[in-house]
Amino acid sequence: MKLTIKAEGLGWRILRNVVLVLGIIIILGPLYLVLVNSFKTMPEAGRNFFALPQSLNFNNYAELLSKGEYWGYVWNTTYITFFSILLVVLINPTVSYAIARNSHKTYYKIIYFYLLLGLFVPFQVIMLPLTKIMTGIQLLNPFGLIILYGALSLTRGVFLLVNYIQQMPAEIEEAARIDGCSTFQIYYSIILRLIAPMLVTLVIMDALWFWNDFMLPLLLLNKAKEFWTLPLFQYNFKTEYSFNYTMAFTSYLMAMLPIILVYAFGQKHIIAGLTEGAVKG
Amino acid sequence: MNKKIVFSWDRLTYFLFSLPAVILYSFFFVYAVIVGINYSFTDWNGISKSYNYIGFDNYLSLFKNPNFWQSLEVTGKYALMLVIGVMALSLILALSLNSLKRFKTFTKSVYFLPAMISAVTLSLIWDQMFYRIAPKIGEALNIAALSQSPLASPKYALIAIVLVNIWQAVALPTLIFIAGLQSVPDELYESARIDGASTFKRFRFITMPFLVPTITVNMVLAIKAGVTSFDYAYTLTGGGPIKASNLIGIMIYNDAFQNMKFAMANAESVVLFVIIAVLSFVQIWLSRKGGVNGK
Amino acid sequence: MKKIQFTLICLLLAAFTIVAAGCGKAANNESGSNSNGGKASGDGVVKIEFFQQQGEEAIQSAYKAVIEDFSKEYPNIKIEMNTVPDSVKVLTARVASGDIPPLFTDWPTQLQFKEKVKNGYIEKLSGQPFIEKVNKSYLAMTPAEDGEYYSLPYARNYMAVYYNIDLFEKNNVAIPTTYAEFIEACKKFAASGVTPLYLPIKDVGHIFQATNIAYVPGGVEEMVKVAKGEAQVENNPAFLAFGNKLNELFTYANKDAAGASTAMMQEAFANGQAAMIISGSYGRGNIKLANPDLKFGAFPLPNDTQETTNVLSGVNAALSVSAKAKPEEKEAAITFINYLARPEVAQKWSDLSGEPSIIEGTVYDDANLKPLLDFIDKGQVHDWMASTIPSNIVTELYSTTQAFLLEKQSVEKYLQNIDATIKLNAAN
Repeated sequence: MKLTIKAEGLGWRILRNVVLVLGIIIILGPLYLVLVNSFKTMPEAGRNFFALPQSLNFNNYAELLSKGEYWGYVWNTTYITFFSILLVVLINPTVSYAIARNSHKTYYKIIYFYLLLGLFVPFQVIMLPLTKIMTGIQLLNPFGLIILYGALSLTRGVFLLVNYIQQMPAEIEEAARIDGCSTFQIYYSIILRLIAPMLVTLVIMDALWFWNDFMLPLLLLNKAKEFWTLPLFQYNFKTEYSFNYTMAFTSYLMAMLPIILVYAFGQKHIIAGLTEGAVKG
Repeated sequence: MNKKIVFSWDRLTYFLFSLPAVILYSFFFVYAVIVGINYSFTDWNGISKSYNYIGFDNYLSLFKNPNFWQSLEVTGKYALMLVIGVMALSLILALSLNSLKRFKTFTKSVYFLPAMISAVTLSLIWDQMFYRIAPKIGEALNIAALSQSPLASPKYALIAIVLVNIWQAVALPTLIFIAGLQSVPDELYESARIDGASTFKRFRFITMPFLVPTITVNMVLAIKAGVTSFDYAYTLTGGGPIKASNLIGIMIYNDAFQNMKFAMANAESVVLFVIIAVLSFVQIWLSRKGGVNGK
Repeated sequence: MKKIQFTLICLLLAAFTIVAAGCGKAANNESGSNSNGGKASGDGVVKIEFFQQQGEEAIQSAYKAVIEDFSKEYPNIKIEMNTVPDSVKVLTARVASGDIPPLFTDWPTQLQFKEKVKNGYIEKLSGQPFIEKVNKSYLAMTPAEDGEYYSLPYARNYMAVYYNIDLFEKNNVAIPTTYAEFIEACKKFAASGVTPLYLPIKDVGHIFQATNIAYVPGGVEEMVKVAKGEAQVENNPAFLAFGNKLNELFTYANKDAAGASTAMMQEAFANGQAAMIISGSYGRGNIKLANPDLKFGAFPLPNDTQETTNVLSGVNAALSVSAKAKPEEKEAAITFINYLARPEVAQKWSDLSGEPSIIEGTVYDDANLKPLLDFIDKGQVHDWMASTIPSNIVTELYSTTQAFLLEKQSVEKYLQNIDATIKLNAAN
C-alpha cells in the first residue's frame, strides 16, 4: 500500500519541488540583487551587477542616514500604524458583535449591508472628495489619517468578523448570561477571546495595508516632511536620486528593513495568525 | 422578540457598540462617496471657484470618448490576467506547500515575504530588474521580446506589470487556500484512494468542493484589486508606452489632478464603481448557484 | 470588571466626540475663510511653508543653502521648504480643497497657473521691486491674461543638443548650424562607428516638443487652431517636413532607442556612447554626476537655416504667493522673494543648482553652454507647448508620436493622428 502511494506521487513531487524552488529564486533573487548592489558604487555595479560586492562599502547607507530624516519616517509609519490598529481593534469587533447577535433586527440588518456596501466602492471614488473633506475639517495630519484608516477598515473587518461570530456556538454566551453577566461583560471576557484568531488575521492584514499605503499619506500628509511615512520617502527618492541607482537600492532596502525585521522575528506567528482566521472564516 | 421597545442596558450596549463604527463610516466614507457622485454631475475643473450642474453630460461624453473605452479595455485585460494568474498560481502553490514535508516553515515564510513589501518599493525594484536583467536574458537565450525592458514595449508592458502585481498578490490567497485545504478531512482522501480514484479526480471531487467558499473570497478580492489597480502601473510605466498600460485608475488620477477635469474624473470613478458592483454580484450569484457544499 | 467596562464605554464615547467635533469644525469652516500653513508664534517668528516643486537633489540643496543665509539676515522669518513626490498633482489637490501653501513654486506660463490666477488664488506681484530685476524676454512670457505679474520667474530651461566635445574633435566635426550640416555630422559619426544620436523613445515627450518647435516655425500656434477646429496639420508642408525629419533622426539613433528612457540616454551620453543627445537643461546635473570628467557643450537643434531655427526655452519654476495667506505670511513670503532676487543670491543659487538664472546681473558658469544661452538671448525662442495648448493634449501627443516612431507609421498617418488627438481631447 505504502509503496504504491509513493510511486504514484513521485512525478508530482519532482514537479512540485521544481516549481517551489523556482518560485523561491524568483522571490529571493531580486531581493538579493537589491542587497548586494546597495553596497556598491555605481561604476562597480555597472561592471558586475550580479556578484557580491568587492568590499562592504557603507557610503550609501551613511549618506542616506546622514540626512537624519530616515528615523523620523520610521517613527511616523510606526505610530500611525499602531494607533490605526488600535482604532481598528476598538471599533471593528464591537460593531460586528452587535450585528452578529442582532441580525434579526432591522437596524442591525441595515447597518450590516450599509457597511458591506463599501466592498464595491473603489478607492478612486472617495479619493478626491476625501482630500477636500479632510482639508475642510483641518485634519490633514497623522491624526486625520488614523481616523480615516479606522473608518476605511470597517468594510473588510465587519465582513470577516460578523461571519466568524455567527459561526460560533452561542451556548457559552447563554450560560454566561444566566450567570448574570451583562452584554458588555460577555463581549469583553468571552467574545474577544473567542474571536482572537480572526482578529489577529484582520490586524495583520490591516497593519500591512497601513504600513505600506502610499496614496492616502500622499494626499493627507503633504504639508511637511516631518509627517512623512516610509512609502512617501521611498517614492520621493525616485526623483531625488533618479540616476544614482545603487543609492536607490539602498533606499529600497532601508524602506523594507523595519517590516522585514518584524517579519523575520514573527513570521511563525504572522503566518499562523493569518491561516488560523482564514480556516474558520 | 418583544414587539414593544423596552429599555434595557443590553440593548443600549449593543447600540453603543455599533455607534462609533456607523458614525465614522458615514462621515468619512459614505459622505465622501456622495460628494464624489455629486461632483460627477458638475463641470468643476478642480480649480475654479464655481461650477454648474450639467446632468449626465460627463457620462455621455465619457461613453463617446475612445480613450475611455481604450482604458476600460486595458483595465479589463489587466484584471483578467491578474485574476487568472493569482488564482491559478496560488492554488498550485497552496497544493504544493500543503503537501510539503521538509522545509515547510521556511518555504512558506519565503512565499509570504512579498506581501510585506510596499507596492511602490516593489515596483521600483522590478523596474530595475526589468531594465538591467531582461536584456541580458534576451541576449543569452536569443529572445527578441526581451532585447529591452518589457516595460518599454507596447506589446509586453501590461504583461510585465501584471507579473509584478502577481508576484506580490499571490501570497495572501495562497495562505487562504492552505487554510481551506487543511479543512478537508483526511478520511475522505483515504477512502477515495481505496476506491482507486486518480489524483485529478480526488482533486476535482474532494478538494475542490471544500475550496469553493475560499475561491469566492479570493476571486472577489482579486477582481477588485485588478479593476482598481493603480500603484504598480503608475510607478512602472505611468500608463505608457503608447497608452499600453493606461489603466482606469491612472486615467482618473491624471484627469483629476493634472488635466483639470476633476468632475470628469469623478464620473469615471463612478462608472468604475458600477462595474465592480456588477462583477461582484455576478460572481457571488454564480458561486451560490455552483457552490458544492451550499454554505 | 466594572472598571474596565467604564473605561471602554468612555473610549467609545471619546471616539464619538472626536467625530462630532470634526463635523462641527467642518460646518464652521465652510462659512469662514480658509487659513493655513503659517503660524505667528508668541515670539514674533513667522513660519511659512515653501512648497517647492523641483525634486532634483541639486536644486533642493541650493534652496536649502539660500534659505539658511536668509534666516541669518531675517531671524524672525522661518521658511520651511516642503518638496513632495508628484508635486504638480498634490498642489492641484491642495488648491482644489482650498489649502494653498503661502509660498510655492509653479509654472506661470502654463494654463493651469492662469486658471489659478483667474480664480483669485494667487497674489498679484506687479509693481514689486523684484519684478524689475528679471530678464525682460522671460518676464514677457509670464503675465497672466490681465497683463499683470503673479510670480517671480527665477530660472529658465531649454531643450538643446548636447554634444561630446572630444568625439567632435576626434572625428573632425564642426558644430552644425543647419539641418543639412546636422545630418552630415550624423553620417560622419555613423561611418566611424560612433552612435550619432541617442534617442529615448520611452520618454519621447520632450524630444517631440523640441523637434516640433525647432522644425516647424509657428507649429504650436497651428495646433492651437486645430484645437479650435479652424485648421488641420494634415497636408501642412511644414508638418510633413517635420515628420520626415523626425523619421530621419530616428535612423541615426541608437539601436535600442525604442526602449530607452531619459535616464538611459543621460548615462549613455555621459559614458561617451553617443556623440549627441537632445536634452533638457535639467539633464546636465545627471550627466555630470555619471561622469564628472565628460566635456560637453550645447547648441540649438538646427532647422534648414539659422534664421528659421527656434529653440524651445521657457521659464522654469517661478515663485508665487497665495492670495489666501494671512497678511503676515504674505509679507514674509514677499520679503523672501525680494531676497532671492538679489543678484548675488541668485548667482549663488544658480552656481549650486546648475540652473541658468534669469535675474539680471548673474553669469552662467559653464563656458561650453554659453553659446547656446547667447543664441537664446537673441530671442529665437518658443515656450513649452503647455503654455498655449492644454497639458492633457500635449501629453496625448506624446503617445501619438511614440506610436509613429515605434509602429513605423507613415508621416501622413502621423499627421492625421495629430489632428485626431487634438480634436478629441479639445472636445472633452
